[in-house]
Amino acid sequence: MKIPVILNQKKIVLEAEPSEKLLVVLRREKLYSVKCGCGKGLCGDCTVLLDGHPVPSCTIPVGMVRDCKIITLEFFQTFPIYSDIISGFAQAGIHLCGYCNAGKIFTAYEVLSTYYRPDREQLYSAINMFDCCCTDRDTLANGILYAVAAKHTREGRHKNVKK
Amino acid sequence: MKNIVPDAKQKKQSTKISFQGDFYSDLTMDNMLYGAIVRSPAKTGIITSISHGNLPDGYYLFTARDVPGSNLIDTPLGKVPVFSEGNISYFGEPLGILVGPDEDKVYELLSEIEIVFDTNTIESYLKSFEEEYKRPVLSLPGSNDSRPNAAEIVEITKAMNLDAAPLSADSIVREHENAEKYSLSNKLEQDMFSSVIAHRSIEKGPCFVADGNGVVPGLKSVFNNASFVVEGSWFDALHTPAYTEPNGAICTFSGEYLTVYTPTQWLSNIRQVLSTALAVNPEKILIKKTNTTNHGTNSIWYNSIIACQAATAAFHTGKSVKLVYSRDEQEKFMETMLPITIAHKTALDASGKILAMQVNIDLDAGSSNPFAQEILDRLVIASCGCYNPLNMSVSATAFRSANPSSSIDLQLIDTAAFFAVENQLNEISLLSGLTPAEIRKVNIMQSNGDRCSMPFAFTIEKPSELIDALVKVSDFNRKYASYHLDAVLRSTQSEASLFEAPLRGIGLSCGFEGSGYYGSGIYSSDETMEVTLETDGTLTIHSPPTSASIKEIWEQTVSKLLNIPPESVRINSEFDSHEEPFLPESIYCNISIMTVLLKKCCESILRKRSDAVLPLTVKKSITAAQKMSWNSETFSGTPFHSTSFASGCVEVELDPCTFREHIRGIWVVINGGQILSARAAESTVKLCIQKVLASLVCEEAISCSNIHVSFMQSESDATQIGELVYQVLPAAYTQALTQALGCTINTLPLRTDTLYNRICDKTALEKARILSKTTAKRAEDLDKNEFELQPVSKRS
Repeated sequence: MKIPVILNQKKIVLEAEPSEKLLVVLRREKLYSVKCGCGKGLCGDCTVLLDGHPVPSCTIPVGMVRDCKIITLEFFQTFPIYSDIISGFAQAGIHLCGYCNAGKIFTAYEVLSTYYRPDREQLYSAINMFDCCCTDRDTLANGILYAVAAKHTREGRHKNVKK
Repeated sequence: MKNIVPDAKQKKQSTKISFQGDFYSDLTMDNMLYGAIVRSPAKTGIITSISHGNLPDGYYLFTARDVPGSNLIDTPLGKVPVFSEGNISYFGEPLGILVGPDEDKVYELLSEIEIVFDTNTIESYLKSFEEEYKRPVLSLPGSNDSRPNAAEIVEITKAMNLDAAPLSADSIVREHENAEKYSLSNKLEQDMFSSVIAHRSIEKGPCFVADGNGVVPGLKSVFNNASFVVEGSWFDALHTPAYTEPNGAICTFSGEYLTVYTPTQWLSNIRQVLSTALAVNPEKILIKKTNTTNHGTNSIWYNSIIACQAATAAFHTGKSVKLVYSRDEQEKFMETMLPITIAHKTALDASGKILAMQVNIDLDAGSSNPFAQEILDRLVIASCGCYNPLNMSVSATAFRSANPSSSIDLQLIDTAAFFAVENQLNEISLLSGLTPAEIRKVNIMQSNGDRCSMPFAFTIEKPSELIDALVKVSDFNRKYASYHLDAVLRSTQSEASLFEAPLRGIGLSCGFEGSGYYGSGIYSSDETMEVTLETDGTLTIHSPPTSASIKEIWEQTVSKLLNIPPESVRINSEFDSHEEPFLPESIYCNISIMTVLLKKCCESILRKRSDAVLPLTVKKSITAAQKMSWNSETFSGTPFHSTSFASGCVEVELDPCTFREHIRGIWVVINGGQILSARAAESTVKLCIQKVLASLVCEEAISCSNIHVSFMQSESDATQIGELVYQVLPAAYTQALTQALGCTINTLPLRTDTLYNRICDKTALEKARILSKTTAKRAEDLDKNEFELQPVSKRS
């Protein structure tokens, strides 16, 4: 079956069975930032941005993503907000293990793009959505808060303040 | 992501190993074939043939007879086959490897493989189906005939697909939830394939010494004269779900040279095993070690067998072969934790001092397990925890069974022993009237020179102070007393009060983590650190790759001692084959041993720097005297290079409607010597707590937002603290549940409905008790009013 999608901002047609997992199809496209973890949507290793929101690609049949926008970590690295997240993580002492990077980074992205200044509850409800294999929740929360600060610095902290 | 082309340079460097920054599952090669393992559909029986009627071109099936060298690999506890030679040892045992260019097609063909069993053994393996699947008794095909049709039997075996898990933590718990009624040894003795593969027993104490009359009093006399005797059985099959890269390998032959990309954790072992199985000179095997994210488990040693399986296919096809275990295979065959049952009998005097501890440990080791003896030994060492009983008798036995090898995690090897002894202490505290903190302080080993009757010497600093600190920070005594009163009131009041909120409980537990075990029969403690001060003033540490936090700690340590900038410190992880790291990766205790050795190297460089010519290389290892502090013959002495100590506390509340637990708080106090990086240490402990919480209930991660981690100040050398939480939290958790429920929880992991079932059992018991009381009272009344009641009875 031919499934048209916008993958990393390029219009392409995926050749796959509609019931195949998006994870499998993306790895076949040699997008290896999408890792195979639990296969149950718990661990976050296979996270991608689907129409701007992080989703576990292991629980999504590829037939459901027709005409959707998919962004993987390979392409996300070109976004300025990626640098904010990485610098925030570094400040918090988070070392990326390589296997659950997508889960951590896209979770941070979701928080950063949803809330201007996330509170503790918002932060932890986003973090609790996945089971990170290498970083504890408090450290990850700190990393996201540092990333928020880095984003504000880059965008200009007072850009919305009326003169 | 990466397409690797083996080049001429690799051939020249073929005696070397190297460390890749990639995951092997992300690597591809030109004309690469994908492999899948053909597995036994039954747990016993003899296989006569494995075949596929119509394999397409380019697809191949290889079995034991295709292994170019020896199919049987020597291990300390017997031989392990690369592929089964016909006699099946466990459900899912590898029979062969199917390879082909299309991964999906390989898995499609895998389900069409025909496996023919010897009909003489058919009865036994059909019975095994019944046991595994809990399905009705199968009648043999053509049962009217004395010889059943083999083809029909194959149809049955094919119908029994592998999807239904034969063994999982959940099924183990279902089967054995009530550990008091469960006896592993009895069960295994009934299994015709079981046998003892390892044993260790030790007795120590004055009761084992002959008195003036030449009579050895023995433990029985101590138990007979004790003020209290407490007995309990504890059952542990904890398994932490790890969703990291599954095991596997990519193997490719280029002329005489074999190149292997794999996340091995034991470089010297994989070279030796590959050399034996493939009949290749070890010097001609190039190991490319890829990223390892899943430390521990059977991956430590079984990865070498997996590499042999892929290399066999690569040898015959002349192409690169990639074998990646599925998540299901990883969980069933690499990470399965088989049950450990520990029975305790403890004698106490009136003051709560432990007079004697009798411990019996039963371990299901699986079909083969090279680490069985070491697992037993470590369980025996930890069996009395950090306490100092006057007399002790420990007997531990590992049984062979028709299950996959029990997973081995060298860091968590003794967790079951702590779970048992700490829960036993809780039972003792209930009986003796002392609080859990007091009973521990009365019996804990002291480092102030008190005479220790244990055969094992540990250095545990200030244990009583640490327990006091925990009690203070968690407000343990007040909460414990309050919840205890609640529990007593609930049990003495009416039946309805059993379910009155709040159902709360709090548990306390202690444990140690030993690092650098001197008694291993598989590897010796040969940790070595080599440091070179280069001509340009930089410093090179020759070591296998380390984590980022260890690297940071080492840079800071070197910088402080030698007064050089941290940027000038680099880690060189290139090794020639003759000097490759000998030990399994998880044995290197980077904080406790390697950092101490690094400090010694730096001190030595500091002394020699003024006179010596650069580059100056210094090498330090664990000294012979340190190793000799453990006596393997008598099984006594100092078993570990260093020991850290921790105490933890868990407070829970049960939802009165759903009976699901809510963890109100976790407090952990650790004495891990000097803390080299407070941030990294706290983060490590919190991550470990997260993992423990994920392992306590099958297929459900409990969360807790109120976690407090504290470290005792100490100037002694840093020790490993990474896995300490595994020794303390499980027991504290079950103790808290025990107090909240009013009935003993002696099994881990739990299931989501365990607590509800326990309450139902308890309610049924209460009803039975009330009924029996009422009946007894009636009988008494009847006796008293016999003459009055008789006519009534007659009327009725």
